[in-house]
Parts: sequence; structure tokens; C-alpha cells
Amino acid sequence: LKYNGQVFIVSLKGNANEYGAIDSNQKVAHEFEHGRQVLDRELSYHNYNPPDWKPWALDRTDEAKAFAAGFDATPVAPDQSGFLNGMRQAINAGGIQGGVDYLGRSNTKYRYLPAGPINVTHRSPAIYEVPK
Amino acid sequence: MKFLSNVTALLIVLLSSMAAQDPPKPLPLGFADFETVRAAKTKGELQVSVPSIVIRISSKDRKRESFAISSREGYVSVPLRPGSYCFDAYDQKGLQLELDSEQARCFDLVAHDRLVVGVVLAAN
Repeated sequence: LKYNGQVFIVSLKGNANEYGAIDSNQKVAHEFEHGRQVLDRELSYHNYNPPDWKPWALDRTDEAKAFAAGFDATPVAPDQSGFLNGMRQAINAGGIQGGVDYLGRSNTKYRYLPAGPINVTHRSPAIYEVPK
Repeated sequence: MKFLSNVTALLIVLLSSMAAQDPPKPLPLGFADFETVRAAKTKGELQVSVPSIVIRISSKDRKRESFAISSREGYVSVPLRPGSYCFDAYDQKGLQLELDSEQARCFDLVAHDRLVVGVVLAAN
């Protein structure tokens, strides 16, 4: 999910390796969960370094919820990547927190994210806020 | 006359060598977007942003180090050369702050990439 200062864009052209070859249904559900997080102030976008808008308050909890939403849309197939199958097992066994811990151990850039949850608490013109 | 023709030839050589120079190459940079937060006492509870944390970023060989300080919102973006880095955290007096033991303290950055990196202080 991206924000360009005017509209949110759900891109299905992301790096397949980054997601671990996530399928299209899983990807749509994953990104729409991030959209739900923006509406609920669990995630936002900032442009402290204009012109780009970058994720704000992004954490492993946001990502674990997004992966869980993807798996709810379409269960992970055994022939999908080891990363996705491991993520599914972690969420099945330990819920969202299991997914958060798994991402923290994974060999992906998700492991650098704070565990969270971190919500959007600051108000600033540089941070996107859902209009009331 | 011969002197002038030599100077002209030299100028032509100089100008043509200047024209053949490649345009300056952009510096290969990646960006580490640090979020400074404090871990909750219990897993799964809210982590809160912490302002004004000094972050020391060291190359893994310890030969280079950079410092940054997070904003009042607990955010700072640091441009770095591609490579592997580790970080630790300090207050503004230079006293080292304890980091959450479960959080990664090192990261790999490639050119033109942007990483969100959590600097998670241990719970109070």
C-alpha cells in the first residue's frame, strides 16, 4: 500500500521475493488490511522528507495482521515459499503475536521493524490523517 | 605561428577530453528510517514513541560510525552507504541506553533501498 499525497495505491507488482511469492488474492487481502490499519490509526504515512510519503508507525504487528488477512483470503499452499508456510504455522500456533515473533526471526527486512504495536499518536501536517 | 597552432591543438585536445568525460555519478545511498520506541512490559501491549534518542550507527567492521538524533515524534532518517551496520542508543548526555533484547541490532542496507529500523528501548 502506498500513498502519494493524494490517493492510496494498492500495488500488486511488488517484489515477489519480498512477499515470498504471495499469490494475488493473498496480496490484495494483505494490502487491504494495511488500508484498514490506516483507517484505525494503527499505521499512516509521512512526508518528513518531501516529496515522498513513507510508512509511519509501521511495525511487525501491522505486517503479521496483514499476512493473517492474506491467509484468511486464500490458505497457504504447501508449494508456496518456506517463509509463507512458516508464517502460517507461526500464526496458527501463536496468533498474531506468533507471527510478530516469526517475522523478527525471519531473513527478511520485516525483522528490522519494531515489534509494536505502535499506533499513530502524533498529529502533524507531515503525517496523513484520515479526514473525519 | 607554429606556437599558435600548437596551442590550438592543445586546446582542442583539452576540450575534446573534457567533452568525453562521463557525467558525475550519483552517490549510491540507502536510507535507514529509525523509529525510536520503548518496549511494553508485556508482549503485545502498545510500544510508545520516545523522542530525542541519540543513535550511534557503526559499520560492522567498526571502522566508521555516524550519529543521529530522533525527532520529538521518535523518527529520524539517515542516509548511509550500502553495507552492514549495527546500532546502539544513548541519551543526550552520552549515557548508553539498554535496548530490548528481542530486537535486531544490525541491518543490511543496499543502495536506493529504504529500511524502517526499530530502535526499541528496554521496558521501564
